[in-house]
Amino acid sequence: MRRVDLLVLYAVFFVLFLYGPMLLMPLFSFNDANFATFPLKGFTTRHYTGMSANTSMMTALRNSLLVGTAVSVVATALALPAALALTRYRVPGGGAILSFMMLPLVVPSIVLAVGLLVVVLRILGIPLSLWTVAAGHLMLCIPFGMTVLMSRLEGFDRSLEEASRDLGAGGWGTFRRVTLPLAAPGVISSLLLCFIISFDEFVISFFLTGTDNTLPVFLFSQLRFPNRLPSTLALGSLILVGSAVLVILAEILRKRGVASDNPGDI
Amino acid sequence: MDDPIIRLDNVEKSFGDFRALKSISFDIARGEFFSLLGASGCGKTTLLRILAGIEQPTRGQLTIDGKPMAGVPANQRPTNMVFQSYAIFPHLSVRENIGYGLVYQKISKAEAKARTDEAIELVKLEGLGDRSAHQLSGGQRQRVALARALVCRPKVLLLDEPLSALDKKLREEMQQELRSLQRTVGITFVFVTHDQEEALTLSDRIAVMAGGKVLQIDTPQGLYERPNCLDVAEFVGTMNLFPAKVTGVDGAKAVAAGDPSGEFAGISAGRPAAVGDTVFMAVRPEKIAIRAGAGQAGRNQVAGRISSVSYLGDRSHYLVAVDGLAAPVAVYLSNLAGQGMVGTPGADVTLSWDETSVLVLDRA
Repeated sequence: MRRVDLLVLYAVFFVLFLYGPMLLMPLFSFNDANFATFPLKGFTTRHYTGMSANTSMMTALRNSLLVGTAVSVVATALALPAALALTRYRVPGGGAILSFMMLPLVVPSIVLAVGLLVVVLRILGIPLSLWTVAAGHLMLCIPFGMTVLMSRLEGFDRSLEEASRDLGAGGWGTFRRVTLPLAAPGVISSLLLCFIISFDEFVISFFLTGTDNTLPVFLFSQLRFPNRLPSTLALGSLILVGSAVLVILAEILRKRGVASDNPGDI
Repeated sequence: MDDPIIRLDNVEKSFGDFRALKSISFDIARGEFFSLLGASGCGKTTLLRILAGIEQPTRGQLTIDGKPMAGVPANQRPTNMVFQSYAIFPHLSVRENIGYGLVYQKISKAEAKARTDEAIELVKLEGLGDRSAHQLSGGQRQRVALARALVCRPKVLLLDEPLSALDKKLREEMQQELRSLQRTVGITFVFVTHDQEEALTLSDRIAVMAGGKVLQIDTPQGLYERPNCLDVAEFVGTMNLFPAKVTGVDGAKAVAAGDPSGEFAGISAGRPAAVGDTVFMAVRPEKIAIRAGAGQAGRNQVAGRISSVSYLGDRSHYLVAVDGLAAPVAVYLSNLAGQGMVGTPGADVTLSWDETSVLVLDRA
């Protein structure tokens, strides 16, 4: 009995340690003061209501949404054929290809960012813009999209595609009528995941952006002005909620997809 | 065979170093119910997948309906398949599953609907058209898979162990239905199974496979009565084997001295035996007569002792230990009217049989 109590205590502290700091953010965002310190002064929503008037914040938000959407769509579109090829066919050097595609997952993003900056500016001579940010995000997102899609594609019965071929469908028909509908939960969670990664990404954006800020870069720039901290906290809280909703949605979709494939043997 | 629906000519298949199929050559006649029978890993499913066009042969020629199939993909072959897992599309309804292949046939929407209805009726799934695959039982899923393949009106229907996932009672029911279905639609069925009883019940002809080779192709009766080798004899039904050395040959007839005792006479099923060959004299359990009391060992007669008796209602199975034989001899007796049991375990008995019931099989 005592041991179980200790374990519960440990778990509670563990979760508090992980999420406590994050929970301070929404707390202070409702605090009626310009400084994030205890004791709390009083409840207010003015940090939230004032946000829409902040045009540079709104521009940054728009930029992030734009980049995030584009990156998630393009990354998923690129990852799907690659995932199909690697799960469905024996590709010569498939293992090596997969390892190279997954490399951005383990390379520190600061290293990636510096490398990309040198390539973009010095070698390609492209001016920095949201386009270069998106390209950097794409590199980061493709391995995540691949992971999600490959596990989905490996999860369903190969004979379904064989049956489709057998019944007269060609390669494209089989993809459109069987593979894609069955991979749909994977495609959606890949879209959501890539969007969140791009939306939250700071280091690569910081290095590769020109005059247009994405939201995380904007947030960072605001930290220099202590009196703007509460509105930053308010924005952070909104992003926290938004991300959580997206992640939960992606997970629910993934789980539901898995469940519907196993109708249970009778 | 004149104008066969399927002709296999030296078909081989290798996966890397593994030779899954070794020079397979045979014909399948139009309208035949043809089974590929063998233990798992014998190559029967690989052969079926080559017929379907899902796998390509490494070497050799496959002709279906007079047309060479080299380079013809699965979706352009006059074959359809019922998969072992049934491969019912989980995101489609029963009706959508069955109509899946009709999109690729040059027919009007009205005709496609009529044919789907007809197929649903054929497999007795009326009223279930709007269900999704999750809501079907194993037997119903099997019917959907069957209807989905038949609705395309293939020249050959390929079935990959379609009954193996069903329980015994349902399996027997479906066997009857499959057989009558095949007679109704009149198309060629190629049926893969590891269940010899199922193959014997359903087929016009059976190819017994082992190790990537076809051992024997024959009618069910032919396979059972005249197996051409030890593997077929042991795979199809139960076979009692007496090791012996051939002492005299007269045409197909051979006389052999038992090892360690007794004398046997029998008929060579394959190539005729030669004097001095070490062979197995093979007798089916139901061809053996059993008599109480220890008699003299003689030609096609041995003495032994009952080691176990199993009463199965319509028949009884006796296992009789014979001195010098490693495995006991199996004897099946029908429990006919007025016939009592021959003995209890421990009783001395004499076994005898007719020489026309004995097959001489090579040891190999």
